[in-house]
Amino acid sequence: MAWTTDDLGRLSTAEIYDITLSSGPRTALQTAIGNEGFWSDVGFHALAHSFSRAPTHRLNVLMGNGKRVGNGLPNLNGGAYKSQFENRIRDAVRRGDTVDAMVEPVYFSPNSSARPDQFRTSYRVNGGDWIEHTFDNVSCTSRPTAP
Amino acid sequence: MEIKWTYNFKGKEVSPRTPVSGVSEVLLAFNHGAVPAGSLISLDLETGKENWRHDTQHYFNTPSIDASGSAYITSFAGDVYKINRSGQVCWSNSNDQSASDGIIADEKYIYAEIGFGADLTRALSLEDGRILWEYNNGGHSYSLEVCGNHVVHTTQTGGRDRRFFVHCLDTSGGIAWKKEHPHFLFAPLIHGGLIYVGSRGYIAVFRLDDGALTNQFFIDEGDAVIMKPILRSSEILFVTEKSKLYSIQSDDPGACLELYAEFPTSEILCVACEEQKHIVLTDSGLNMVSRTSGIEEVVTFKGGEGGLMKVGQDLIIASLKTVQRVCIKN
Repeated sequence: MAWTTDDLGRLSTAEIYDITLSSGPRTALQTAIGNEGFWSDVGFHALAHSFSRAPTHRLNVLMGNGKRVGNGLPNLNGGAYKSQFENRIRDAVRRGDTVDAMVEPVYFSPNSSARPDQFRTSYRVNGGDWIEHTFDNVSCTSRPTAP
Repeated sequence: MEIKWTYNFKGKEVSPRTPVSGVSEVLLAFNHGAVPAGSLISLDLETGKENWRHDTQHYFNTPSIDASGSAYITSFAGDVYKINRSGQVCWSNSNDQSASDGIIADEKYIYAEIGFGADLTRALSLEDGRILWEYNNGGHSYSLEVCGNHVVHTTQTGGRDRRFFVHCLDTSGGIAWKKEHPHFLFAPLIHGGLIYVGSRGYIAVFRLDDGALTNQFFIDEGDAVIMKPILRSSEILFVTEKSKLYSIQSDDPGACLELYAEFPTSEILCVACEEQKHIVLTDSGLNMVSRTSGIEEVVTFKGGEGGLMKVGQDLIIASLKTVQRVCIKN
């Protein structure tokens, strides 16, 4: 597991090799990081805590969408990021495959905050080709109202 | 297709391992989705009724069964259990590292650690579960294969700069040989004094005696044989990551690899062999494959993970939450 930062000290890449699966509780720091973002954000693990017990610290946990923002889609944390990235990895590891993964937050200019605009993810199974996805870290400044 | 019985496992996002035949029962591990948990169930082979169930707090691998019908099973929490035919846990052994499927050889249960931090192959006493020996293999291992006194497995060291090895141990834990290979190697099959093992882009053949690389059979670049090769008399079948089924005649030294069938829109999960045909479980259904008739779809279903095994003329099929004993009518 390794993390690199950009010149503003923000997460640039997070990578993990030979993922194992574990479980663990939500921590106060994770909640606190979520509270630093938009109302629709949560403390968002770049590398899921269930992957080789990836730690909860300020490089691995970012402000990320974790609540519905009224765009008709599930939230990112429990929706696309989970189903297209984390669960694919989980399924492969459960089969006994070796899985490596990488997460790169993307900050569009002039965003100088610690909240990424996108997450670019990639993973590979048993040394195969890297499978890449890009997820928009959607946000909403005000709570959507009921129709 | 005649369905003799159906067993439905309750739970969300569950997926089964390959069923294993006991004395008069079927043993099957189910894993639960989001929260790591596993269940080993014993079903009556004739009726499909649940005899017992054992739950654990992490994913289970496929069990092995000894002559008395006792099951040995590893989990991703690093636990190993011996469970007798009545469902009682005879012993358990805990190590803090995910474990592979194990094999039974020479009165020992042998398995390897998997994932980040893995580096040991370990043998436990069938009798009481104590550790008889450990061998430092240096990394993540794929499934083990045993033939006589030989235990063969492949490993890779972790991290960016991977190295790949084949290890041949004896059942007492001594090393017969260890060879480094330039590419990934997956689950091995031993047959006729040779080790057949898939890689990316080819199948490698090593000599069991000394580990010398004797042959390579090439498949499509970018494809890989991850699954353990399947032996049926003198024919060996290879399932690729891109759902192609290849075969070679192992008793013909000049034999070429032959493309037997391909499933462009489904993923091959498991293959069972019959005299003139093969039964292929994919994530979308059950198929009969033969050289004369090609692929015949027997039944379609919305699948995921699963497995099958032959019991006499019948099949036990596990797919998603359902286990069925079926008779395929010709």
